[in-house]
Amino acid sequence: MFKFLQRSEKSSAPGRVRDSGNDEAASQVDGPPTGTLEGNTFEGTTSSDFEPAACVIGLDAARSALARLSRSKPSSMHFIAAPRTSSHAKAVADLLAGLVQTLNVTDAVVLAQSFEREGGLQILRLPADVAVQLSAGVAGAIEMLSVTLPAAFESDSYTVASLALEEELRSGHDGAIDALKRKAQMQNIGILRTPQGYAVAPMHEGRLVGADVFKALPDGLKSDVEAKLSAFESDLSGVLSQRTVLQHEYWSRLRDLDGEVASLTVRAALDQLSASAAKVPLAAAYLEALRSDLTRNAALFVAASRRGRGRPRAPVEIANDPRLARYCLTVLGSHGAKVVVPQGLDRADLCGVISTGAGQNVAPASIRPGALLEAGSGFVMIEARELTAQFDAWPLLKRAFQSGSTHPLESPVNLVSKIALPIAARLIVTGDTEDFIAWSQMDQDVTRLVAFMTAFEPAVALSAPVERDFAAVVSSLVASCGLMPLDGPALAALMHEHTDTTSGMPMLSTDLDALDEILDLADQSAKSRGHTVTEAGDVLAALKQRADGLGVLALPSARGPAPGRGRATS
Amino acid sequence: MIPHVAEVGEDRGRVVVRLGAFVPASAAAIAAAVHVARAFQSELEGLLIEDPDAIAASAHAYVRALTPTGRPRPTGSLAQVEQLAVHFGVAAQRGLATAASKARVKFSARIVRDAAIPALQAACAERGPWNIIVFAEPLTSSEQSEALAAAFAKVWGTTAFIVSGPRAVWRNGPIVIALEDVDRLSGMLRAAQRLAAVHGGEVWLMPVGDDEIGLDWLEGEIRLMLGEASPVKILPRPAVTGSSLVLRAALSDCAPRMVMARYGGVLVPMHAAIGPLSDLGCPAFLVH
Repeated sequence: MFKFLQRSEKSSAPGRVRDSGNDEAASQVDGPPTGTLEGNTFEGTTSSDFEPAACVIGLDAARSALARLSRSKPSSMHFIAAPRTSSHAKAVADLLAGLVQTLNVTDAVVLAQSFEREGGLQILRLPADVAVQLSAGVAGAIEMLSVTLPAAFESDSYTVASLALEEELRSGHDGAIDALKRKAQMQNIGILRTPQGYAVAPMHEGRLVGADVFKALPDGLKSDVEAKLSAFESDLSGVLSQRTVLQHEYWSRLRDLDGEVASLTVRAALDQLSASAAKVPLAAAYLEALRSDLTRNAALFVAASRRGRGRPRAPVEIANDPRLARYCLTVLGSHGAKVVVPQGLDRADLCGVISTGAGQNVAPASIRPGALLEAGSGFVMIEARELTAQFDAWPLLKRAFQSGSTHPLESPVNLVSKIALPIAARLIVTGDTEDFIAWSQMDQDVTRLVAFMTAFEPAVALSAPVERDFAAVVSSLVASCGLMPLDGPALAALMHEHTDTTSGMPMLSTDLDALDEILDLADQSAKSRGHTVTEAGDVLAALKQRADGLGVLALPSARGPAPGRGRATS
Repeated sequence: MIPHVAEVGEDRGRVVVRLGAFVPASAAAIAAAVHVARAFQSELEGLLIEDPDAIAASAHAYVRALTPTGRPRPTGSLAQVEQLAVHFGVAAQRGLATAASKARVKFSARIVRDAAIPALQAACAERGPWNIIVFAEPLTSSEQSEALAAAFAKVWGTTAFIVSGPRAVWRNGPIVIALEDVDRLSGMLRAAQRLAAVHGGEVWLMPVGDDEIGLDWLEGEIRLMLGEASPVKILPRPAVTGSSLVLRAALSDCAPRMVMARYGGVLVPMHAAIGPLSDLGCPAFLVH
């Protein structure tokens, strides 16, 4: 604990006060820092005269220091040194959240089914707005095609055309056999179905000529019958062997008809989207491949409609149809850039997970982007202590940020080929200097790969602006916790408690995490003494009480944790 | 004649399924046969009629045998061919027996070696007069349509025939009566209502005729006989009257389970049953 120091002289101006009538004092706010303890800053004021501010000292300096990050390259790694307090962590997160708006946003990553390789994925890097438009446009087209494709295949014109083809096949084959049978019948030849195929046999009055009768026929007549048998055998053979050719021709023509109907319908659904994506070659190429695949697999939509007996399908039903999952696009990083604090440091938390269904198609719901992808071009913020505590997290991050890509987990393994998704985020590791030393001792590459920057010093030389910052922090805590304001001497006493003079120059500690606890105790003391403001005596009593260890027990029952002082999040 | 089948135990008829020799049965025809038997609480008889000439022909050296793909093949021995015929018969009867068993319809099987018409005549004369004959084999050739015409002309002891085209499908739809004369209304309607009652379906009725005046009169008579509260839906007549093609297209649009009509009328003209049956897309219940 810092020693309580006495005020030296009365020279410094009061701080950035709320009272508009205190013009003279305000005019001296921007005076040069003296580097010494100037108690007069608080003279004649109370904490409520100071504008509440962030609960850290040196925020402006930190802002200037971190401004360099806006020029940082994608996939770069940075260590931000700051006291290991929740208020500093929040302040860093807030500063990064402000900075993230200034970063150059890289393209979004679009995951799509590869139509050339079944079960494979393709990655498209597209401008965020194009990616979002493409994804929404394709989803809309699929929804539309779920109605229009079945309708096209149930239309009168298609039914008539396909029936005509079928009838042509049937009459081509059955009709030819029928005609041949009639012709043979007129010449006393029968064409009969047998268990093994067909038989061409001599007939008389509609019945088969028996073997003994046939043998007894005169030679001339017999050879005449045999000639007829041979001729009809040949004709029948021709008709039967032609069946395969006819069937092939039928299927070929039916496929052409189906292709024509599907192509027209698909084109109508995709035309507008294709026109808007024409200037982005990757998107245009994807849409062309999609058009071709949809045309080829139009039967999927027709079958789904028939299974549902023609009832309209809800959009959510279409979106979750596993057979149509191949047409779903997953867009990662379309929001541009943001600050993301990973929920954990497991591979899934950092790199994401791709799950594949039975059909090996990737549906949007089965892709969970990890923090590295979720941050887009922004910042992934991790505490150094957490990083060093988790053995395998840093090697994973190092590899990802060095290569500029990440490999999401695949489940079940081996169903989808390994894919590497490009990352554009910046890694931000926070902690104090000791944390950085511990981390770099773990891996010597840290000092080479990670840029070190200091956001908040552990202590700053006292000056008038610093004193005002301190008072602003106190004002903020008093306001947020609903405490009585502190008078000037109380503020000075509190500041002295956080000031160290052992190096000769008074240094104010920036670790103010204990401040709310002291203020709470001082407030209790002031109230018990019937004060209307918290005075220096109350502060001293609180410090004593805390030193005695009583305050630690008293705190939880007095009040819950101060708002806004929890763990920083995105 | 009223389309009707005798109930089980009456011994005065049943649903006779004519299984053709060496031709696979139509699934729609089998389903229709079982359905009719259920509707009339009748029984089912699978009558496999083997063509004696076809079996004998396979064994004569002077007969030219071909495979189904048209390649010449040597004729086999009579015993070999008969064995194959037995296998085919067993398979054909088993399919029908399975369908009957699922619907809990009494089933019996019989194999006869005779020409089709005499075999059917004998079967219906044996137990009649309330039989319905179902042609399991889809009608695809003029020879078959002639056989149907011959059956209508020569087989006594039947009240109706059920036939299917090659594209017939058994589906959930209404029983549609194509009515050409008012005298048949009550009989056909009664049979159709029994058929529809099995699956809780509807009966639709379409007046059919050659000329507008006749159709107006027919429609009036139908409405008079059915009354206002009848559950039977009367379909609008087709745009063009007297055309069998337009009529069939209109009926097909109803996606019926079965169409009931008079054989030899506008819908199914005599000796030309193949085309109309193909277009209907469902089994046809044809009455005298």
